Amino acid sequence: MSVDVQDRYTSMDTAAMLTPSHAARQRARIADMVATGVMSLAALLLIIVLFGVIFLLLRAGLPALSWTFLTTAGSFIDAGGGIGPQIFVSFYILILSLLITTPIGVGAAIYMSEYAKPGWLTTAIRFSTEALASVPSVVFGVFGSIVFLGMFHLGFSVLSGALTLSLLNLPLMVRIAEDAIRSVPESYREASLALGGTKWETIRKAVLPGAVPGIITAMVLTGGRIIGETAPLILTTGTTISPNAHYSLNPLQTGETLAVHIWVLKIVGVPGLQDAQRVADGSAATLLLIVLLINLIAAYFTTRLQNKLSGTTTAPRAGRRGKE
Amino acid sequence: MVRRNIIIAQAVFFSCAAILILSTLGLLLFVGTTGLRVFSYMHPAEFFFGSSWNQSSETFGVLPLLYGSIVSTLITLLISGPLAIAVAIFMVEIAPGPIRRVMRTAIELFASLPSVIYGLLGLIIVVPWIRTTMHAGLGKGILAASIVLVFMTQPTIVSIAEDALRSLPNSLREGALALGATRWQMIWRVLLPAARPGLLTAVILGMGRAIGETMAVQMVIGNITSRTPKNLWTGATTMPAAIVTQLPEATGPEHRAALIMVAFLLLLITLLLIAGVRLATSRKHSSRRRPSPRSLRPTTLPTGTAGGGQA
Repeated sequence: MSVDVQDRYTSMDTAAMLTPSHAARQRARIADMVATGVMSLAALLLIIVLFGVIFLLLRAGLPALSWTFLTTAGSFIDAGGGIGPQIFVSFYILILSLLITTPIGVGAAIYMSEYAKPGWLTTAIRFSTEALASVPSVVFGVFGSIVFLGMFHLGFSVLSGALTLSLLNLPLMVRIAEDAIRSVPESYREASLALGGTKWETIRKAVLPGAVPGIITAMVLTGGRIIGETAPLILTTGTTISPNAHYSLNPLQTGETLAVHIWVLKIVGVPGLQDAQRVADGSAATLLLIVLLINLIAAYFTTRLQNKLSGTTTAPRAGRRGKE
Repeated sequence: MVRRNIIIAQAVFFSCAAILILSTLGLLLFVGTTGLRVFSYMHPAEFFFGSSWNQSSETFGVLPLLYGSIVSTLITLLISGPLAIAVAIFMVEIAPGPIRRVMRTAIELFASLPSVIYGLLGLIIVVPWIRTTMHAGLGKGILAASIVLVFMTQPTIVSIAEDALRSLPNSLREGALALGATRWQMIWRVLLPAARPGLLTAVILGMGRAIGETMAVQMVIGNITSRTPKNLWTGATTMPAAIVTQLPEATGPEHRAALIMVAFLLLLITLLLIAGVRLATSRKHSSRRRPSPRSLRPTTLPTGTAGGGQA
């Protein structure tokens, strides 16, 4: 690119370039100021929109929040119902899905960082990960509805939803876990191997413990996505909770998560529910607070991870490992 | 005994990685074969060039869906691309450290907002605004969807564009400034051309996010599938919005197959975009190991990039 710049200037009159006219300099300076202003305004716009959005949602929703709202079931006849079952289903799906995604994702990450050799197989795995990460979530929903509902006959159920989301989140899990595993210093592996450890012992006792904060970050970020996911769940888990199965642990029940509940209230409508607006506002504020909390937790683990990584070069290793 | 453990461990880890390949193939295979069944009910020309999607008359022409997806994505990118690149430039070249950190936190928060929340905000703010300014019936339509999408695509484009700008060698900046360029001249004539492959990747992935976004769009676009809309503020639809609206209640096998075919088209478009990203990045920077476009460090990882967060 620097060649490009040179070409541009040598083609001009060199003397004119070295002593640009006063007017030209003035114009360049004004253009610089205008551009700086425009770019700062663009950034300011994003910040204002973000805080405006959070403020609006909380102002509308916080008055509706109360312990009863968060713990009781919605009512189809009277006003005053809550979103307890929806919160329960959200976290039930979150836990089920993480139980499936985490081991598979970490296993794949270990393979990619510790075993994979360059070749077509590794390239295929990389490309699959990249491709899966950008497939729209609604396509995963369609896939889940074909495979888990149609072929395995799981029906609209919490389990179908959890399985679908597990596939959806696998690439994110693999990517972050792999980064975490790769960032464990090579000296850990060498030390373990030098002590006579096998490859498996090295991974289990030296590499994995060092990667734990990164893996937890991956779980938290994945969790944040699961809580907000909607489209695949509409296609696999359904949009209703059977009234006699609130808080049921049966994974074959249909379910409705908090995010889906907001959509149902605002778009589909719940016949007979008098205070749908209040419930929707309250649900949105709850969802927002959960997401903000998850972000906070993720930030905590990321900072810990960074401290740990920067610490390994200076802190005595034995001391740090003792704390694990 | 020890030897067996080693082999078992390797086999287990490999099968975990193989699940990734199997899922990709499974997606193509199951969505593809189920979707292609639609052509046993109707002629492909009827599907691809039909200008009406009407479940009661059982005509399934994909044009209204394609039109909505393409137009909303183009409008989104026209606004979102320049805006996001301006923000990325601000973060890399202008903002001092603390402001940069605030910006990065804000971008991460943007990425982590669930798409129903974006949809809800679209309903509360954007749709009423269009209703009053355009004197349009409902205010739902492609314009509303595009405005919501502009903000939803910001995290994707900003974070990748930021990485692209940040990875440029400092010598470019120093060289330009030493020649007497102002900061803007340096950005416009040196940095932006040099970062072009990265910026292109950012915009393509933003495009993937816009075209696949489902819930936020479904909530503000009006979901009219029977015709292509007359203007940007009458009810329309997009491919994902039509799927999520109609698939749960699609009873006829023909209707169901047609919707799954739309999902297959969406899948193919996404894979094409990924191939486009590979092309955009592999031409330059082929020597050094390219961090895969979205494999940002955990610190900057937007929780929902192209595939993510979009519900």
